[in-house]
Amino acid sequence: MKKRVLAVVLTGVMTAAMLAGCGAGNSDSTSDTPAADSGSGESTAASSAGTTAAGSEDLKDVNGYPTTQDAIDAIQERKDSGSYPTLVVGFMNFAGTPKGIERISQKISERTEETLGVDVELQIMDMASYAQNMNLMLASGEQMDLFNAVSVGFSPCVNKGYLYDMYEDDLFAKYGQGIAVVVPEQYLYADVVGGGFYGITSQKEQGQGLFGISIAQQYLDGIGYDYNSMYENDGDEWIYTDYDTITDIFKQLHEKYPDKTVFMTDKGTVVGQCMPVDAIGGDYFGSLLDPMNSLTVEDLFSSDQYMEICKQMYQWNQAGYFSKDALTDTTGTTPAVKAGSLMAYKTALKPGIKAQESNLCGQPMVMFQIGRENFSASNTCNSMPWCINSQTEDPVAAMQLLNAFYTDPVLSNLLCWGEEGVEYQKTDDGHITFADGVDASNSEYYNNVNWEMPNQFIADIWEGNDLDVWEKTATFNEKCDVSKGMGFIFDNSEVASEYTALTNVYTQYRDQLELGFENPEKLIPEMESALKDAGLETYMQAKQEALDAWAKDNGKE
Amino acid sequence: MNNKNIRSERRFQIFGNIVMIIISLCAVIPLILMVISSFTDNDALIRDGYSFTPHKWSVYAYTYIFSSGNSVPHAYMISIVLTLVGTAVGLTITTLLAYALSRRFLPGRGVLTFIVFFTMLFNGGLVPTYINYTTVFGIKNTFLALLVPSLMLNAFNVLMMKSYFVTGIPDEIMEAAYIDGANEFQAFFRVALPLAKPIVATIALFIGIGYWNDWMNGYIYLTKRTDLYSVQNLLNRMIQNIQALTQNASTVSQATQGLATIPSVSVRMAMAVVGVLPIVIVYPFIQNNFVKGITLGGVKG
Amino acid sequence: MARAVNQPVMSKAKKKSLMKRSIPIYIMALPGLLYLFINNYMPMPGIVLAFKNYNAKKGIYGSPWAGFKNFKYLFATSDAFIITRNTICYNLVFILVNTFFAIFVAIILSELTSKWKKAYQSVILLPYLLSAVIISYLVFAFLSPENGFINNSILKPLGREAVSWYQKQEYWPFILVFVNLWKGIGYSCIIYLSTIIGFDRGYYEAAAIDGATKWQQITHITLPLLRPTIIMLTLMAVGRIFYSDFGLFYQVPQNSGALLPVTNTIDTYVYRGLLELGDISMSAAAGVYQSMVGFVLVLGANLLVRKLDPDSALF
Repeated sequence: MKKRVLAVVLTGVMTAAMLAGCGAGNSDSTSDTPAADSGSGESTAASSAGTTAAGSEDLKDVNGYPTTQDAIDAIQERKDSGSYPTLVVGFMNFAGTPKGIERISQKISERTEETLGVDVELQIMDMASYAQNMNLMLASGEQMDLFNAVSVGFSPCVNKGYLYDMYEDDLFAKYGQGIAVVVPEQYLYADVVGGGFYGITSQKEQGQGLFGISIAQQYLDGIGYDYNSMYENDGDEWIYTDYDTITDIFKQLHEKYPDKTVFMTDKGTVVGQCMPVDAIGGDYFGSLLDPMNSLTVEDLFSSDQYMEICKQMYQWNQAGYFSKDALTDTTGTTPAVKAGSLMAYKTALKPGIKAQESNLCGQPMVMFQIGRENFSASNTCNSMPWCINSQTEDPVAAMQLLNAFYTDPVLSNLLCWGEEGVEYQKTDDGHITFADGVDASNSEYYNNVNWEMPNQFIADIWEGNDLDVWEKTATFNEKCDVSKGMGFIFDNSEVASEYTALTNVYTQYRDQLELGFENPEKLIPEMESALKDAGLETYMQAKQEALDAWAKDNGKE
Repeated sequence: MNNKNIRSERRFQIFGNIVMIIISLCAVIPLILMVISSFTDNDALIRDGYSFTPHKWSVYAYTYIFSSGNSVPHAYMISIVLTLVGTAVGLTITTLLAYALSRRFLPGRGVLTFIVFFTMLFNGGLVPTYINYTTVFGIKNTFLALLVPSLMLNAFNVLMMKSYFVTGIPDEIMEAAYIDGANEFQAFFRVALPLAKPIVATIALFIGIGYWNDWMNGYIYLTKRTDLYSVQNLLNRMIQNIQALTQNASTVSQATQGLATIPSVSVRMAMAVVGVLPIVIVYPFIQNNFVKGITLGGVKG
Repeated sequence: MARAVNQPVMSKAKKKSLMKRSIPIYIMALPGLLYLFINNYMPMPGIVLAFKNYNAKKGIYGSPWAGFKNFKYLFATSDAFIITRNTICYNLVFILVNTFFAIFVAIILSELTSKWKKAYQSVILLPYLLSAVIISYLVFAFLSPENGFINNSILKPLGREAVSWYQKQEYWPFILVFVNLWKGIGYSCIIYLSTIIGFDRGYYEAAAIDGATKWQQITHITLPLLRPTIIMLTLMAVGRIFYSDFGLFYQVPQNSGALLPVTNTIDTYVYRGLLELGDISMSAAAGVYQSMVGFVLVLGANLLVRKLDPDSALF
């Protein structure tokens, strides 16, 4: 109880501080965040008034961010003691421990010894083993001070007691001042659970443009389609359009190139990336169908929206636009385009997407969006938050290190890109690129997971991206429709049996419906009754109760 | 031997060969497909699917495996050393334990057998086992982590071998050895062991395959020392990552980026070929032991 | 225990000599038992996890008790019947089919005299060396609806319509049994083969002189001698009847939802449910449940065997 009061007070103070820093706006709107400022680091952020929270004067850290006397003392104390504590930092990538990990750890330590009085040891594991290894390490109490909870799961981590509450002993207020400036408020406190502050989202796009369609330019040119005139504004990355237009394009593509697959979508992403529906609490068994306005948990699968999207997919599939192998495919969309077997696929939109997808597909891609919804779901900020391990020996140092990761461009560059002159070099126009003789396959530190890093916004920008991509992203984040349930997580351990059964039922029907292999008119009622048998109503009720309680605690009516 | 016998023998040989040829074809055809796929151009694989007669051949998969920083030769070394050491140690303790359990006069034999058998059914589970090996024995990120956990000895092999010792070695032969003044160790080494050659070779093969094919130990216990990865660890890391990426595409929207960077279909097949090849080469040598086993059996009779 | 009864009553001197004979045997057993102690028995108290509400701060043994709550999800829903049925039925069929073919092949191999014998042996072992994922790719190469070998190169030339293999439940019980046999036959056949090779050739020579045909030799000599091995292997398989090969039931059908009614087993059900929950207590509970059932079944089966054929009993 005490903690919760503190949380409310703190939030209020923070908001006040930020308003002072940015000058305008009201606290309820989504446009008053200093995210845009943080892109350019030192100069602007330094101007924020900041640090009244802990009652100290106008103190600044090495990067010009507000700090507190406690923080300065803690650093001094560690430096005076002569032996720096080593903090272990864990995150995941796609290819496993990179060769240069020791060297980069060393480089990071050089910087943190100077600024914080700590050493850093990175532990980078690949996606396949990360959740498993992390669970084992956390369960066995091995040293792992700071880690990203991606794929381990934020909610299970909270439930099992793996995470340190940053409200405890005012940890965040005293040592996390920089983060409070950098991360927009509406996203910063999204990982407060039951009055405990357990995680901080990474700086990334916090929402997605729904129902994006990416089509290879060469095929559009092949059918002579005039897409250039369809852009609304100069410099738009994607074209706003509708379902019928896309269907028409697909039809022409199919006629002209009958041997190629027209369209593909990654399995299990159709609802999440095409519909403004919030999988509140982390699953679709009870969803928010009108997430911007209502906190009522409803059944997605019996809704008209779901029927409609399944019908659309069914129509495309029956017209022959899908591969017959879609149900079992493991290739992925972009390699298939690259190989020349696929012409279009669905993707989530965000600033920089055009460059990214063109790069992955090895050819220029044209992006479309059906509708114009940019949506930020309630789980946006807890899919990959940075967390402090509850068993860490030195929570203060861990908090300060995390703070530095969010605010220090030197550290961010090392984490994101490796060492300058070894992995990467600066180009004349302000981008960075591979160092001479280095490429993706032989680089000793090329993780390609910057969205998982605490703050990629302050790192240098890779060649091929716009230099203002992070400003655009910040604007994008502001404009996203944010779910009312943002920050809610659901402890479903009391209804775990229902959850297990529901997951198995959904697996049985999901792909056949969402990839349009079966007539939804026929199959959805069948799935509905199976879900009911598996306890959908019990589960939804439990979720609604938890959501109501959460809404009450957080003043969301 | 009369004519009827010879005719029945010949008929059996023809029948047997036909059956074995059919079964062998069943076993080998998919593997041929695997080898061909590994030599197929990757884009052709994605476009046309797997085929016995690909439109475009390519050795890209192998150049990728052996050139890019994957250090397959190094992983081979690890795999070979691991398999040799593991098989030697594992076979020794398995054989000794199995022999002990086969001695009928041994007091407490039933209890001991049960203790062994019990481990086939119950185990503490992954987390307690992990805690045991990392915190009590501290073998995480060492070579021992590949060698020791779960692979060295298992109840199945012990009981198989024990049963062979019980049924395949007549008590009279052992008694004769004792009468000749042999002690237990001598009886074991001079009499029991040579007679048990077929099963020893079989269990050696099982343990060896177990070590060669294992990726679980590396997956769990090697989080930093990627230089200790065996061939199977490399192979499985790639495959598991692809699996994880396709599964998590819904939760981590960035997963698709990862999919694009991971080596493709033909490389997976080539890795499988690279993983299986050594056993194909080594197996005939192990088979010689079966042959020797037969001759010994003949002498015995 | 049963053996002790068979031994004659021992005199003191005999007891002493028995101890003297036994000590070296115990020494031989020691390294193996030590290993089992470290690898299997030291972590075994961790089984209590299944009955706990695990919390990292309190550790495994300090976490509060949860009773049988963690087991609930295994029984609570209508799926419980399907997954249990699938697991048991597949295992029974696997035991029958694999045992039959393994013995069949082992006998043929042991009697063959051709120089191809070695090649056969190596070749049928090969599939065992492949990981489940690779096998799933190979199966896919044959069954893929679009590019698959069967649809394109067999059904099409015959003028038959292509089959969407991964959506048709009816084929999968056969496919799974076949794949399992294909993968496992080399392995189980070696066990029988090495046993047969160990048999005393004298029996066969005597039988041949008496004019026994090959078939008679097989049914009257080989099979009876194989009986203890068959019984033992079957008993061990019975102990694992509630487990299933995850790769076979998850990877090989490509996790295709339409096939779930015939491919969902206890292991895949638990995996799907816990993938995101990540609850170690619940997964421990599944393991304990599977082990307990296996344990009871094996004890029962062993008791039966001991009644009928004491020499073949496991313990």
